[in-house]
Amino acid sequence: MKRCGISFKDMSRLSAYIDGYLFEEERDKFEARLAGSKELQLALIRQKRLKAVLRALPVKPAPRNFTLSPEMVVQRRTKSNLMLTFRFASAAAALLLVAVFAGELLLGSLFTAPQASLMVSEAALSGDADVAADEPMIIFWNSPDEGKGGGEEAMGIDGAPAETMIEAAQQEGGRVPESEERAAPAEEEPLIAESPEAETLILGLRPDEGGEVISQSGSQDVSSKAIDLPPIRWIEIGLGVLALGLGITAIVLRSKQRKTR
Amino acid sequence: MDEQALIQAALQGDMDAFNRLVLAFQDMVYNTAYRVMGESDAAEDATQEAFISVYKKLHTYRGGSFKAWVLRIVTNACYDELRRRQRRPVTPLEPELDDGELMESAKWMVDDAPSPEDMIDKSELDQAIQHCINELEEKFRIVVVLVDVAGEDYETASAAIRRPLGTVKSRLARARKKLQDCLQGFWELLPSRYRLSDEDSA
Repeated sequence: MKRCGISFKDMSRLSAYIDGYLFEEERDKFEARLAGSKELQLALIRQKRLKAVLRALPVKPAPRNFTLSPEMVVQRRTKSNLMLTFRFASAAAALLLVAVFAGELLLGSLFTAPQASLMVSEAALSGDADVAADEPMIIFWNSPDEGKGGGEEAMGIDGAPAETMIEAAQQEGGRVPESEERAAPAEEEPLIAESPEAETLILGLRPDEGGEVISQSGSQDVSSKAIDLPPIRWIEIGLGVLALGLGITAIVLRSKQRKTR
Repeated sequence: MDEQALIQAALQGDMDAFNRLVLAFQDMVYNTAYRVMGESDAAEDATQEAFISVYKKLHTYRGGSFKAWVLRIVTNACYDELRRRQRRPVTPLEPELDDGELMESAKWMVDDAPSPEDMIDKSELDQAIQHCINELEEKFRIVVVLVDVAGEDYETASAAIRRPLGTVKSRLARARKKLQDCLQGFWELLPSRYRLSDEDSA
């Protein structure tokens, strides 16, 4: 900051000089410089005038009395304490939630991995829980005869590929899943063979039965999964709801407090 | 009853004693708040908040200048109030036109005749100086108000802003320089003995 050849250091000394805040030695030096510098003299006059202008400002008296009543202090203290309590409780719940998440991540491999694999197998074999418990699931991708891009053959509806699938499964020592048995030839699935409307079946089910059966098993699955949440999830959800609720309450209290000011 | 006795009584829960302290300091506190905030409503809010804080924090007062301690609390109350107002700027009341559009200004509300308050207190020079004070950064504004407007010494200002004396000196020098530059634009309002231009002083 330099104007009219006066540095900020000089302006600062000038300002302190006017108020009598220069040490004796420093003041003597500055007065010697002041005597020989027209610019410093002008700056001194300007600063003195500014100070006089500011001191001449009218004093604004208090427009009313600001005395306190016991109610004012107590009411404010209670509100403020309540708000602080909610704020800290919300922060504590959020921190606890983070800690639970972190703990779950760190220790996840110990107790959540087996649980997760179990859930996956349950989901995959939703209609055949007994089979899943006893034997490993066998999955065939495309048809064995050089892959024809799936379609009816791959699905085992045409007969021959499905037989191959069943044979392969039996050779492996596993039990053929019911769904595949349904798709197998006539002697193995009398329901389809005896049915006069075999061609109208969709995935081995009659159109009028299919929707009902699927929707029942689906709803059962959903309800059983909702109930089967691990306890840690319930803790996390609870903490999240608690943190959110307390936080919102603290915000509401704070905004109310501001409005009353 | 002297100041220290009132403080001791207030610490014992004597609200009357505390209110006597309030009455003794309220002009000084309000005037400081008014000059820092630049408007009366905000100054009233800051003053009330400051006295509530003084009451709540009285047990933390460890002797020394009670005035400097009160000024420190006023300074903090002003900073808080300024920040609160920056977060929630006051929206002026503006009437709507028939088509739902807002009128450009609220001049319709202004009474053309000057109020007694305007005639006595709000002189143009006062407004010009207050305008220049408002233009300063908060940290410069509070120092210039404490030292040049309120007439406090550097030690009190230093205690109020909780900064060393050297900081007060440098902030004051900068604030004065900025004020000087700002007031050049209002030189015609200044009485001849106060004019700051080079021509006048030469």
